[in-house]
Amino acid sequence: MRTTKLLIILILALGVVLSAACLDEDEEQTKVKVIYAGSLFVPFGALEQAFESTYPGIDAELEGHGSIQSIRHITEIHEEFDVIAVADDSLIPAMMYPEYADWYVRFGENQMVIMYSNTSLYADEINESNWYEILARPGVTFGFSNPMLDASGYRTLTLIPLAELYYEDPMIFDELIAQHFQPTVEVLEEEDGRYSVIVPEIFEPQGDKIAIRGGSVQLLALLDFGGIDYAFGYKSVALQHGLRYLELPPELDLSSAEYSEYYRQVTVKMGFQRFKSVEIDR
Amino acid sequence: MSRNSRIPGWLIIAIVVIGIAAIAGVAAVTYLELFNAPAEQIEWNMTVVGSDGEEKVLTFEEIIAMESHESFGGFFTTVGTIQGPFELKGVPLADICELVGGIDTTNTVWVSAPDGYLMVFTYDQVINGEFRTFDPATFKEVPHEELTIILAFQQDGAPLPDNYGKPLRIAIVSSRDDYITEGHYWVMWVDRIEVRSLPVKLPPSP
Repeated sequence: MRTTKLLIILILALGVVLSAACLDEDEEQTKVKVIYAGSLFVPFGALEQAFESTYPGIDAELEGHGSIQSIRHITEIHEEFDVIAVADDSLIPAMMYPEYADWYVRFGENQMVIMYSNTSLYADEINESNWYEILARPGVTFGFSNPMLDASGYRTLTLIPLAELYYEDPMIFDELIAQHFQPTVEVLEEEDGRYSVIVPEIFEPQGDKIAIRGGSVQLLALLDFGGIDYAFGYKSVALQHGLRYLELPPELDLSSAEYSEYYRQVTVKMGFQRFKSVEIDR
Repeated sequence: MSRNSRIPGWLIIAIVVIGIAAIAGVAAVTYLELFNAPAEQIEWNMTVVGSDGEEKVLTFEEIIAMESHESFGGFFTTVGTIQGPFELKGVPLADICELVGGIDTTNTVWVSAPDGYLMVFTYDQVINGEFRTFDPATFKEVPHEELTIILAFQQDGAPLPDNYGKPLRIAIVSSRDDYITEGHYWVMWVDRIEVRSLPVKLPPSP
């Protein structure tokens, strides 16, 4: 009987404690839902920990996708988030104003670089003056994201035609890109003197020189395992993953407001419109 | 402790009876939800268009009545979050295309959803399952056995959940559950499948 009495008291006490714990948790923590672009994965993980340490009453719930997909979760799938962080600030006014947002804050900058490792061919020779010659060499392989799936992909296809203008070498795009795709990728000169890169609806490289992948996760794995020598991507990603990287001239790295008009000389036109709300020209 | 302070026997019996009744009640509700609840009626139409413009509109019931394929599949998102592996059941995309004349090497297959998402698949992807597969631990590309792209309507023995593309989504499956594919191919809430001809590039004028 004594044991039974103690057992009943214990069970009741446990129930009270559990209930109190649930109530306390619901009452004390405020949830803040954050959706962010994939290239911010590492810093936002650190931010989450730091923020919750500073504000223990807040539970930050983070969810990561591509920049456009992140916006679409709000504007088209109608999920509710408190904060959105994207890797291309032009997307917020273009896709969210005025119904879903009416302001944004630039909180960081980035630049396009060429990532590589110690085992990459010509790793100790490549520099900002010869990178396009090295990438064109037989046996050298490189990769970038599919422009229809990832912003760094269309940014790569923007900077390579710009490189022709910058280095005054009209063969760069053909040697690095056009001759390696079937159907090919064309660069057309428009009436206003600007250039359009036409990405076919099937964007598949021929041969082993170029690797096209859906995003940086796959490209980084290829670099890590020696599947490619070089990859175009963001400096932040290179730093986060401890990779060697080559900085490009500001006329090519798409980072500088001072050169925004220079960058606008090239537009990339996608083969298909992956997201109905996003124009195929980038 | 004195005998006068012990808990009455009737109270102990009452507590035990109430506890058993509560457990039985939860079990009964769970059983009903799992096995006896009436099957949900899904109202969903999907349009299939052939390369010659032939168009069919299929209901969800018509789709699940087609010969189906059941196997394993999982994918990863842009940030490397892994979903699955799941056991998925659905109709091979190639069979859907056959309803409107099939697909050949001059075609692509455009799969879209009402939220505006679109993905284009090649002949090799639809017919031969030509997709890259990745080790979920390292994202290293690994060889794979035969892959099939299906229009899935069931996941782990139940209808697709709302946030997994209910009632129809694209899935890439195989007999193995230890590799994954890229998530951008796994179109959710599919309501249109269109076979298109590849653009014909004319030779330059002489």
